[in-house]
Amino acid sequence: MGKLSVFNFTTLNGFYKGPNEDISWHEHGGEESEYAAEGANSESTLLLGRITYQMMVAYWPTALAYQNMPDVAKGMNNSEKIVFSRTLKEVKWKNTRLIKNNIVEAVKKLKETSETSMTILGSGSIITQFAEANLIDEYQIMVDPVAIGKGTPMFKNMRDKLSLKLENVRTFKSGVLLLLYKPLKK
Amino acid sequence: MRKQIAAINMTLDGFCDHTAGIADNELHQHYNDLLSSAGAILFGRITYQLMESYWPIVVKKPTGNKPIDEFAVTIEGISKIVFSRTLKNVGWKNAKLAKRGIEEEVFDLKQQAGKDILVGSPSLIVALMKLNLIDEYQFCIQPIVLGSGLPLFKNINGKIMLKLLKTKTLNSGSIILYYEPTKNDC
Repeated sequence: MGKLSVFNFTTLNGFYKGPNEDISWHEHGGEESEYAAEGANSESTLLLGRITYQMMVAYWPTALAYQNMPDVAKGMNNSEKIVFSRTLKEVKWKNTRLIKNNIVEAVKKLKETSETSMTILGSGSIITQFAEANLIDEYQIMVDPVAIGKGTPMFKNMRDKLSLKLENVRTFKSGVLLLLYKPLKK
Repeated sequence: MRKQIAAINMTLDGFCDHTAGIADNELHQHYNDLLSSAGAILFGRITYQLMESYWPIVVKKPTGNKPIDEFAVTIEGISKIVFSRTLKNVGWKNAKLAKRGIEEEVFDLKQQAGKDILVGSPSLIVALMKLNLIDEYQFCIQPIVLGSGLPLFKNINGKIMLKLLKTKTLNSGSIILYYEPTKNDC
């Protein structure tokens, strides 16, 4: 069965973006970029919500991205990607397809029928839905050493409390922390 | 000079709620050690009333749980300074109402000889943060997601950049993150 992971970076007070999709508070150094590159170049299928997709498709295919982070850019552009959106008419990124409806059912089916692992990037709206449906197997959260006053929490609008098990902690030289959690069985 | 330390429990999605966490013996022992290293605690009204409604009772009638009973005795013995515009007096042993504003009071305390000063009230932490009076932050990140609650850094402007000093992982999966301030544009 395919493993579904979340990979997201947050402020130390739990926000994955500030107001108006602001992620300017997020600065990753070389060490973290290497880690991100490993993830982007793995065989994992990337799952994205509409907003994350729109931000990424505006950046990763560009020359600037290849200049700044060539390995991550390569991985992001070449990976299999699925975008979940009821409103988008089409998606225009390499190796990307669109799922419009019944996304929880769709992901359940993907997990059952394929061994391929899937990773959700950003996409707070879909994290909440899949977490509530108990579909997420692992959370990799990179905690930046920064706090902002207003923003969107990663699990916004979760109906139930989610209890997790901390499996691993990795510290980067910059002070960024990678926390790996697995859900506790309900 | 005495250090001003801000210590608080937080969920993974950034909410401070004293009832949500896993308060096991290891966590109580951790806070016992922290209290023992301090010479004073600052309280806002809400946190003061919360603590004062419970801990004095434990001193009179110990629970039999060693870390909890120790905590009750230690917190009774430590000097407690309460900041409130509405309280007329405070009845807890070794507690007094601050007569001056927080900036003057803390500035003064820091100049005096003595052990470190603790603060655990969200409102006071933000007030002291804005005044650049906090020397060290200790955030205990609980391995739970609540979905909603009291956000810790609700009223800060801009962003606060911190420097990670170290981490301490507890068996419950809680992890304490130790930071010190860098520059901030609050």
